[in-house]
Amino acid sequence: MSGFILFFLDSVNLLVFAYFVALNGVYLVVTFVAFRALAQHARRMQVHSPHDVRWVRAAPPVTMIVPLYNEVDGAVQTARALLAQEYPRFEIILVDDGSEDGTGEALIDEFGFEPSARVQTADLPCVPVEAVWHTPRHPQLTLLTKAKSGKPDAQNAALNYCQTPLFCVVDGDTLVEREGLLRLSRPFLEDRTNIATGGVLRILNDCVTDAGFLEEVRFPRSLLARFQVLEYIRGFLVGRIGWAKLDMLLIISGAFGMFRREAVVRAGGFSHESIGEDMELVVRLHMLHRREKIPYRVSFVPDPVAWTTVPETISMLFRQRSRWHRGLIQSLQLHGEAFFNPRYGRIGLGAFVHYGVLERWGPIVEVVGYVAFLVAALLGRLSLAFALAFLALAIGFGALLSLLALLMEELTFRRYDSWRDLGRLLLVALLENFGYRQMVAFMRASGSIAELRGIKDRW
Amino acid sequence: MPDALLRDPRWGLALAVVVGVGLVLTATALGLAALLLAVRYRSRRSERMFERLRSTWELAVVRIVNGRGEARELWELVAPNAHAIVLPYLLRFAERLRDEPLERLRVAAQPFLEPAVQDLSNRLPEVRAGAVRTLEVLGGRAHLPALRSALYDPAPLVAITAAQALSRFDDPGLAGEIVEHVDEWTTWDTRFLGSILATPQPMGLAVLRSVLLDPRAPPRRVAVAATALRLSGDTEASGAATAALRSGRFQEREPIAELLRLLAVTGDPANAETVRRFLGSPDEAIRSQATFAFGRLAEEPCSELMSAAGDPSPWVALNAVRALAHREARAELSRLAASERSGAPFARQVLDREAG
Repeated sequence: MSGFILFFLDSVNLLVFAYFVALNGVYLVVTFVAFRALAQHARRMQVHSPHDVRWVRAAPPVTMIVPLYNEVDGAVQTARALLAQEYPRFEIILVDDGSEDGTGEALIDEFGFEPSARVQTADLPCVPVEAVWHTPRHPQLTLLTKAKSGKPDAQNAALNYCQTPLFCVVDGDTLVEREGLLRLSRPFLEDRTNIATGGVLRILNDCVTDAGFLEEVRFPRSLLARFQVLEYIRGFLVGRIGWAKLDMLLIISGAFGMFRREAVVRAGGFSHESIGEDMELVVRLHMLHRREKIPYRVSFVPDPVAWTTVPETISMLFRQRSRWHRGLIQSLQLHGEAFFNPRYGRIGLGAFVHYGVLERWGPIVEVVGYVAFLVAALLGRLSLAFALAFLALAIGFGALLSLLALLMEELTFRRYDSWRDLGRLLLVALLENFGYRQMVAFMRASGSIAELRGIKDRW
Repeated sequence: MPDALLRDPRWGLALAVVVGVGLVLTATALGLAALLLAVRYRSRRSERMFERLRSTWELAVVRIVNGRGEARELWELVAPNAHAIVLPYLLRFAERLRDEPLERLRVAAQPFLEPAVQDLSNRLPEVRAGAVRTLEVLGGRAHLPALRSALYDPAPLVAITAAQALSRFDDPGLAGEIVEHVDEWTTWDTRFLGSILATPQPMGLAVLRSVLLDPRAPPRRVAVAATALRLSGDTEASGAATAALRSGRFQEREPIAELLRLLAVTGDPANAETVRRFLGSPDEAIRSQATFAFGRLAEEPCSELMSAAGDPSPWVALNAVRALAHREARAELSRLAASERSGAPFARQVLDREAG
């Protein structure tokens, strides 16, 4: 028996080691691909300013869709800030999804909304809109009010009233840079087959804002938020750019992303079947276009285009990461036929394998690995030297990937400009390996378990 | 137990590998951290240096642009090793200028353009495109041959940037060359390409009109030319657009739709009959553009527009009521809005927005 246990323990540790090598190997490859893509983008941006009149003149009309639920504190400010976007032709559809804190009333009072009519251009499934509002003061602004039914439903409702070739989803608490739409629309001009574009999200915590605009970038005070700054740099500046360059981008953040209306309507809009409706939509777009052999592209813009607030308490972070991981699992399960399926090209053979194996099971493997590691050490099965060496390897690799991401940030956007902030980022790159990463792995593993148990999540 | 493991040569090897890789990674991470700090330091130093230089140049540049200074004033201030630095600075300045101030700045920039000329042969397409842009803005006609060569660059980014540059010159030969390259830029948005080709220059407009009349011109080239003419506001384009539509040679949606959009902007009542033929097109996009154009051009379009307002396509119906609104046909719109017909919501939307 004890022999079996030891054998089991050794097998687990070997599996964890193999997972570690595979996952970080992929991250390393993606990092180097992102490096080249970012350098190319930086050079390209020096050729054409986003305000180049020929680009601006050609920019297609865009509708910004803003689902709102209990956002009374920020909805008005968000709407005002969006109205000031530097973009030639755009509309904004705000959707009050059954808020209970007076969000809709606040908007109506502030902007002078009146009951109005607006034509539906699609018939995506959603709870019926109770009223359409329009304001003579801001012809671009429309408000939809409806019963609470969740973010995907609210987005579908707005999409049914979208009358422009492109639309952009914006979270109610997201701050969009004034040039955000200009930058995000560019891939649609460079490539007619482009159907979706994501942009970099940055962290707004403790930044100085004024009337919905970013005035000064500041490093967050909260340690938890600081860890997330580094995570977002890694995830967006490296991860998304790299995956997009490899034509394997499966996620465009629901906080800010631009889509071709026709493609999304044809795909059926946002799904109610996944709490990660943003990822699920992109995966579905991939599947549909590959199945029907329609040329298409899903792209990513490295420029910081939007800022969002991140959790500063462990409980809120737990809820967010658990939810994200469940969204990942649901999106992959809904389209499981793509897994290792050559019919879906590099999406099936590359992206789905990575996300379906390494990202999906990774947190559980990681948590089990920590436990097995400890047990093995306690049983004397693991030599101290080996344990320390492996730990150093894991920490070294983690820090390496973070530092590569920081180097890319430093060579391009450098939004944290002071020496002190750079020092803090370097410290965070080291410290996150001593507890934060493990905690997030645990949170994601909890999401896996919750998904297995079928626990429902909310808006 | 652990010692037993360590005595096993396989575990010993594994340990050595792990330790070795760990050390390499740690050293690399430390090296990266040091590199980060060095990059930051270097960036800061470059920025400070640039600020110092900029402050010495700025007064001279402003005086030159305002016609109160000579180009030589700037030449004396810029050291030979600073030519590559002054160029981006002058470029950003020049992008805000027009006409005579721009010409004065171009004269002052001439001695510094050598790095840009060399960059035309850089292996990176973005660098080549940047050089084209620099020579377009700061070089002017003197660098026309180089810009013309860039039009044939295999990288679309470079060629399109060159097309943008060349479209500023009123030269029918150039316009013709640019238009022929449109066929190669298959992935780029039609409206964007039209935006590049749009020009106020008479000879350029004549070339674009000739594309519409050329029976051998590919459909996409026609679509881009029509877009360019529309964005240029060319009032003489309606004849060519009408002839192209009447020829019946297009099956594709794009050229027909763009020609109809062009007629909507530049046409007159005499063109309405040409447009009418497309009101019943099975293609939604063509029907939509035809509806809008017809609404703009025809003298008495209301019955056709009221019929189009009931079209199963929301885009056709929307364009129909918008055309009615444009004609200030409020009575018809109000009747439609009050009715049970399928076009009623469209009329209500347009009336609501109009009332606002």
